[in-house]
Amino acid sequence: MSDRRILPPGDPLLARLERLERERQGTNNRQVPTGTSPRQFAPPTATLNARQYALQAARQYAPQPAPQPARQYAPQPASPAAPPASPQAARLAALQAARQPAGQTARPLAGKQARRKRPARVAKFGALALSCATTAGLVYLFADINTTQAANQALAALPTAVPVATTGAAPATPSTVPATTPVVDSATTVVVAPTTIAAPVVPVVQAFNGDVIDTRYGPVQVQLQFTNGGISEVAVVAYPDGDGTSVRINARALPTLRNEVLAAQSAQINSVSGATYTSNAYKKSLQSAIDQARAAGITAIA
Amino acid sequence: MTDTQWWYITRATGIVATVLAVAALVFGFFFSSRNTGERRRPAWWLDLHNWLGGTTLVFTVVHIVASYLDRNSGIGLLQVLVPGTAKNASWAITWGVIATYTFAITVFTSWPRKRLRPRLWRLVHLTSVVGVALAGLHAFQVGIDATTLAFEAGLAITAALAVYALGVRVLALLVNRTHQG
Repeated sequence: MSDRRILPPGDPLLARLERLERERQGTNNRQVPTGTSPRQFAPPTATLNARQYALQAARQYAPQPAPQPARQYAPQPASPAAPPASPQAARLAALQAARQPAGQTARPLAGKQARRKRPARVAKFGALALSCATTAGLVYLFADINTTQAANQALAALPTAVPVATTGAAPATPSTVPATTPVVDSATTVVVAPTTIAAPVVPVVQAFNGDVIDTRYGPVQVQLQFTNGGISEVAVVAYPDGDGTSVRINARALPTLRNEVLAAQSAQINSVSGATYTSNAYKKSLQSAIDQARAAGITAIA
Repeated sequence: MTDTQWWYITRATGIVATVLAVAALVFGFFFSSRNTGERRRPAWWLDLHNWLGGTTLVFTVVHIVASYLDRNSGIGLLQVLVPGTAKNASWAITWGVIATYTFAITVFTSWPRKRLRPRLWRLVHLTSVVGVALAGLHAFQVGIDATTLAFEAGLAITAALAVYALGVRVLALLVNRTHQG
């Protein structure tokens, strides 16, 4: 048979072609034109189905060598309505029709053919990945912003420092402020002298600024406020707030350190876990403020 | 998940859906006005346009579901489905609901496109332009991020892109009519 010239030996297509040939001769022998030369290929009749027509075309154009293996061709459907434009197209249609069993559709495309079918595949999945990543990034950003805002609110609730006459290492001149003057904000302890007493004892708030302790995340400075010789308040003059992480850490650490100082009335306090740098600097600045207070005559400090 | 986390997802998917809708709109205008350049074939642009439109609808649905699951948003099933029923930010949510319907109609009429009359399909498809505008208005009115400078800048850029693409499309339409007339 002429099909053997275009197909390698052992190709399963050969057996399929031979079987189709036997079927054709047994059922539609009268309807298939035979005995024509390759260039006298006749268009299909109305009763000739696509497979028979493709097989006929393959047999007629078989003497011409096949340029490429059959598996590399695109599975284009063979249409019985119009003859193939070239002998090569006829061979393609024949091979395809012979490979495709009756009643089945074409196999799924792969490789370059798939790219033609779905041309923007890479861009589409890139857009999807970018969208999902953007969504996740925005969720993280919103959460981060919300946490930072909450931390800022917590830090804003901390007591503020009162003005002192001298700051830094000079120990001798603490500020002495009458408690009735509104220099201390509402968060600090302000004792108002009763008006019914003829000679009231006016408590004073003495403030001492500790040393500025530099850390790798920023400076830390503490202000101690004394009332009646005891530590009545601890304000933080400076703390690392250059980034959101520092703000969140210090929003948790500074209130804890303040409560510990007020409870211990000394610089013997524990560090806050996760805020080691701030805690150590806080304690150093606190100790320097206590030293200034002792030098100023406040001796009731542990 | 907490209400706050659903709230974050609502905001994020809303922003992404708006950007995707504008991207689909821009690619669609460039494709229909034959201004896609020579580097990519028109089928590539059409494929990407269809994908972006579908992705827009998916992110919009996620946006709605997340806002529904956030109990602090005040969005229920009625507010999601019926425009004008929301108590808070009624107009803004109305625009969002209408925009969602236009997106859904646009996507679901693109699949059986060959079964529709071309004129009818084009008319339905063009409602997505109104949908994108309403989505932007919805984001501007109800979004808590609308007060931030970054969001306003991004919204202005996407709006400018959409207007530019619309201008290109209208110009191409006028040129074609001039040549044909």
